[in-house]
Amino acid sequence: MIFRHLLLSLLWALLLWLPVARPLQAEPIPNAPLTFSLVPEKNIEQQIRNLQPLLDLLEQKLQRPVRVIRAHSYQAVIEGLLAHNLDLAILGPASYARARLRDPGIEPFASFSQKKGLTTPEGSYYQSILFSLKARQIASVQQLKGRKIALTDPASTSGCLIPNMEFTQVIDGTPLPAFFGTLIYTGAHDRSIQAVLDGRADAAFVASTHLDQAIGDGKIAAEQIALLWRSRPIHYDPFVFASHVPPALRQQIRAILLTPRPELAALFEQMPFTGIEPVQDSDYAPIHALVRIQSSRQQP
Amino acid sequence: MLTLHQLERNQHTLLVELERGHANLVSILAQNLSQIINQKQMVELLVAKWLDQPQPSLLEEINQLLYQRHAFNRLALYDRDGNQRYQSSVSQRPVIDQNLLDQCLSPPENGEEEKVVIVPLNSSGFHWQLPLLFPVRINQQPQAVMLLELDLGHLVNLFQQLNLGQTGKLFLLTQEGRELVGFESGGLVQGKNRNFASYLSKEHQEGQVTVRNYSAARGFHLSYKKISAFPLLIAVTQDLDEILAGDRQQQRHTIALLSVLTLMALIAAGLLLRFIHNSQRYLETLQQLNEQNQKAAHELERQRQHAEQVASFDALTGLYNRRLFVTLAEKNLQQARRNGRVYAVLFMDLDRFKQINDTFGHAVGDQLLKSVAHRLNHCTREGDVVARFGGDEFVLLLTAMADEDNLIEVAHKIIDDLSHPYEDLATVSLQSTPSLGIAIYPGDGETIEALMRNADAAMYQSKRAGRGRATFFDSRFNASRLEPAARQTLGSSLSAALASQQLRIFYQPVVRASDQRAVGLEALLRWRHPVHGLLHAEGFLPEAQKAGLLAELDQWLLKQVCRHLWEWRTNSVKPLPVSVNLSRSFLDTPQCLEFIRALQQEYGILAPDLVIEVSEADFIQSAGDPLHHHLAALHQQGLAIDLDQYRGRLSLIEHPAHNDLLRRIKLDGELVRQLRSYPHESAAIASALSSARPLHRPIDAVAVESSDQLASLKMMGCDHIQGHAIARPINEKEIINYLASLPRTPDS
Repeated sequence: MIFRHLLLSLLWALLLWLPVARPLQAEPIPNAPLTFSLVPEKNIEQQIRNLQPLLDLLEQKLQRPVRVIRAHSYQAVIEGLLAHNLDLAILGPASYARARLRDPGIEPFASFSQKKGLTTPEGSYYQSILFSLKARQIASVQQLKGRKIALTDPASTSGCLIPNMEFTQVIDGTPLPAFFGTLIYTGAHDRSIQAVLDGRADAAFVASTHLDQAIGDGKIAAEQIALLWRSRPIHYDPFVFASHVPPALRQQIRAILLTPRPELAALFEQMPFTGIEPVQDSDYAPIHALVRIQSSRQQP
Repeated sequence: MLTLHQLERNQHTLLVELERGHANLVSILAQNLSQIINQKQMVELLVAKWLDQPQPSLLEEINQLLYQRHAFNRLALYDRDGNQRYQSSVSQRPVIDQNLLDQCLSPPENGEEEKVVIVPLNSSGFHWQLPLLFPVRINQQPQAVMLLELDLGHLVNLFQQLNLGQTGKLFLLTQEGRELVGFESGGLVQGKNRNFASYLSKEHQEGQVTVRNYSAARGFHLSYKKISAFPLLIAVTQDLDEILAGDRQQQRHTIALLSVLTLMALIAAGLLLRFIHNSQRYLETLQQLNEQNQKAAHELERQRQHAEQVASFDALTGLYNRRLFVTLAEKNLQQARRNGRVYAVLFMDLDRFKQINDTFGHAVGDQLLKSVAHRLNHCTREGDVVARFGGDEFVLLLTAMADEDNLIEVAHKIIDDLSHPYEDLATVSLQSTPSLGIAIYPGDGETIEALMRNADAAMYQSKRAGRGRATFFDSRFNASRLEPAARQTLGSSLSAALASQQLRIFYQPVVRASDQRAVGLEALLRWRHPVHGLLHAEGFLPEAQKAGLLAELDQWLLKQVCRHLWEWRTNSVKPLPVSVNLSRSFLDTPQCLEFIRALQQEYGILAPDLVIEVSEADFIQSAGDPLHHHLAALHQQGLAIDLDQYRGRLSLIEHPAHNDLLRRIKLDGELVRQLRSYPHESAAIASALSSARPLHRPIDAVAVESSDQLASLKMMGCDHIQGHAIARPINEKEIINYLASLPRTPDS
């Protein structure tokens, strides 16, 4: 009987399909999936690939699948959190402040800490950088008057909020659209850097972390860059919970991310991160203040 | 002088090329944007349902839909008085102005297909969302207004793929030509508030018009197109300086650039579609249980089934489930009634799926289903509705296709794509083929239920015919699928059907193979059965014969056809000759001649307008019978006699005199159905044709479904063609329009 069964199976395999490539793996115990997204600071697929060890770790420790949502804009992540379509997300400081303004239940709890880069200091802070290329012979902010400038996403901190608020002090309070010729919103830091390299923009406001990564990836050489302005330090991007996430799950995720894990060694080696550290709302107080001013200006 | 002239000519060529490139680009983008904005339809549908029955699960569905599709970030719902009924996320946006709501609730103006109101953005700051107001209609009446915020990030991602050159710019404009948002140098630009009104032609908003500005120092070239059904335009501009820069080498470069531009636009369109399709997969969860957790497994399985039932998406594949499929399909069919394009339901299952599951386990089976879903998404367009009903049963609604060739192409693509080995499965690589059944609206069913039932029947036929193929619905299957008991009752209920007007006539055009000009119609009998749906004559004639009703049916058919012929003439529509298939039971009776003569007189039927068809089998057996004498008498009255269901048995030698009665020979549809594009499978038809040729009568091929079959049959020398590849049967109401639309020549 067993022999017949075996023979039958074998026949099927031979007749219909190519041979079995590898044995079946044990399936994870199913549970409701955890939905996760992150602001598309650069190529979203690459960002997700970089975070894969962390997503795998969450999946394994929580014993539930992690569903990654590929957002098309910063705002899409904010709306996803507010509509409770997302449980967990990485936001930029400004997008966090914007979301928190609408839903005080959104909670920041962790952030990557940074390795030292050419433009970024080691630790938990980065900066907004205005840069051009030395070859363009632009050496000062004043030379950029009437020129084409690349910004990121309207909800980006270093690529929009800081330029609109802190940077304007350098140009005597003139609003950006009045000082520069054209403001191009490219949607992502890597696109802004590319726009400067291609000559589609004369300069760009980007996060120092992304400029460092572009240098590290060989996309732009450090000696090509003309640094025209840098902002005060900004606390790095928070991991946040949506307000509907129950306290027990928050505790579990906190414990997973804030305990040093050998599984994440590869991630830290590849990325300019040294670890994950706890954050709280007060770390983003300066950003909250700026967002409040900005949003009050935008009310009619 | 010559050089100047040449330069001018080159510049002209360059501009013409640019015009073509830009026209392509705006046309593709307009189509994409229309599809993106059209995602509001699904939201509207669910919102209308929620207004009717405010269940929280519907709101959850709406949220998931928004988030899954990416086009819109946020939804808010307002009643007619401006009260906010729902919002998907808390907003700081001030209350919507009542004027805007009223504007949205007012009936569409002339030429406006869909109502949209663009909420004006305040001037400070940059807006990454474009708030749009749409009416929510219940029974065609606007009952509420929904605000949907279009995510411009979605557009940036789309436009990123394009190479517009140094000065190329894209604009989303209002119908009046006011800029909503611009795209240049790889990013969005807002706040320039350009106005293109003076360059837009009022009459040509739906076409592609090029506006040139030669006089300005920095002239530019503008191409634009209306976004179908919405009061929005997409425009592309490029500076003339860049276009006409320098010598011929640079000009050639520009042309190459334009080709690349067009190519990029096509790629972008492809990427967008793929992108949108990929997003459908967000509900993927694999629920597999190991043996130790057997007990938990049952509980989870129960929960999964429950979740699947309440949700609108199939948890395994992320496709729509039956519930949402039916709702969306109904909505689409409403549109189909208006737009006259081809809509079809495809039923599909995987051949030998059960064995795959049994042999390799459910984990592999599930992976296979996911891959199949993925491939199906690739084969279809954004507007199509792809669903899984459970097991290996997939159902698709293909929408707004130009013609049935298009439909055949999609069906073949599905078969090809799904038949490739599944290398990407987690554990094994395996191969499977799909069986497809196709039912086309409205001929194969006027409701989604009827279409699904008939597509299912056609799929069953595909399986019986040898799997890995697509079969068009043919109502014969409906009856042949019935239980014997149900089939027997057909005979007894037929008399009642005759009385209660359940019988219908469809007319299928016959065209000349050489130029596809219509030369005749065949009257086809259908029974709109209250329980079994639309039945073809082949399905119920055997039962009618048993019940002794064939002659009565023939009389009914003849009478209806004569009445229609009379109606066409009274409406000044010139008819085509109509062939009527008559049974031996009728043609054998002595009254048949008198019956036909009386009808001809009553309705003033000209002899050439009516053609009698008799089957080869009946005809061969008729030598010396009354049937033969009656046919000869009809022939003498001037009526043409066609030989139907010809399989090559009648030959010149056996029945020489007999054959003079015949006008044309119609091949048996079964022979044509067997015909594949491979020559060795066409032996049966070739032999029938070689028997027919010595009879020196024109030969008709019927049941021609694909362009491959059409090409083969033309090559084999068939003179006339009838079948879905040319035209599907047309109902009684619409046939008069068809006839009126035909170009006429003296010989038709």
